[in-house]
Amino acid sequence: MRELNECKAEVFRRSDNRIKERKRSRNRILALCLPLCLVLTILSVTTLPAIMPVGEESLDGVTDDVSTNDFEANSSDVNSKENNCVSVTVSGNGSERTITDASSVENVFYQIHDILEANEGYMNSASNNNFIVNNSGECVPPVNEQYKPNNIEKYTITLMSSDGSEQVFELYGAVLDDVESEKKIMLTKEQLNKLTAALELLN
Amino acid sequence: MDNGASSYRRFLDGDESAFDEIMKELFRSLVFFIDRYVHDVHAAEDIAIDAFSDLVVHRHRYNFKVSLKTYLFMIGRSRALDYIKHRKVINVAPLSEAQNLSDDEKTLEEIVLEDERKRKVNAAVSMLPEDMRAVIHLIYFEEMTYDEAAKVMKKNCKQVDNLLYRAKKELRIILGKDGELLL
Repeated sequence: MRELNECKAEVFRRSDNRIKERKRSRNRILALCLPLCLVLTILSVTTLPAIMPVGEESLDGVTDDVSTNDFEANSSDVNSKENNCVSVTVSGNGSERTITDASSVENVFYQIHDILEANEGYMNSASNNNFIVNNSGECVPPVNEQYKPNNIEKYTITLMSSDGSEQVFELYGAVLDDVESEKKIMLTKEQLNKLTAALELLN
Repeated sequence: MDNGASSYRRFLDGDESAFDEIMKELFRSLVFFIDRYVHDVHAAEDIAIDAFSDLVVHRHRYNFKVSLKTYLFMIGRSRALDYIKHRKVINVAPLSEAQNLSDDEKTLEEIVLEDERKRKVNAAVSMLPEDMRAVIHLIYFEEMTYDEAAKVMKKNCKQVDNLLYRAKKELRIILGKDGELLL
């Protein structure tokens, strides 16, 4: 058995070793954790903004109806709020008529303008790809499931402006087609009724 | 001395000599107690040194709610049980070394147990099961209260009381007629 002094010296020797070991392991943990925290901070700063949802303020002026914007770009006359249309020619069903009455022309102009502005039509659904081939082999537009217009004739609507320029639309069933830009709008029942009434077409 | 509490306070305040007093007072008793578990004086000494080392390394763990002796014996018992659990190699010592070992144990006994009567009881105590051995040691040899012994053994006072009763009963059988006088 050892002397008491020897044991006491051994107690302090072991204590010093244990304290040093604790400091070493604490430093090791810090050496590991600090870079980890740094990496996590950098990752969160770079990654989080990308995955955070965009606020509504930044969506001002952006709409889902992209094709309407394109349509509007090509139909600047009709889009302009001022009516500079002087006549409307409607041809189809084996006949052709020209509307020259100012109020009637204005009515047609604003109906088409409102259709373009309201964007209630389903532009995407009225793409060429959705057209179907009937028994006669003709490519016909799809009929809106909500209603079936009585008249499936094709009408060409030509808006003549005061400077001589023309804008041509085609009304085929419930689809209004801008011939120049080849964009189509599927009309609602209300829009179709108002337009055909303005054009004095039978439904 | 209040079982080392005031000395330990002085040690915490920076008085290194106070630790000498604590060691002088409690070291051999602790070794003797740990030896009850491990049956190896040198291992018991080693464990006791580790227990005292805990006092130095973790200076502020001791909250002075129990006596320093109780606190040290708690650490000692815990370390002794760990030693027993992790002891994988059984040292087979030659006879000559065995004689030395038992001499060391005798020396320890002589140092700790000045009372001849206690030495006689000590021989019988080594035949008891572990828990009974520990409780007899703490109550009879270390003169701890039931409360302190309960804290060291992590039992309640009632359990300590029951253990002590059974241990004395066993000792009377072992010690025979003299048992009553010795206990």
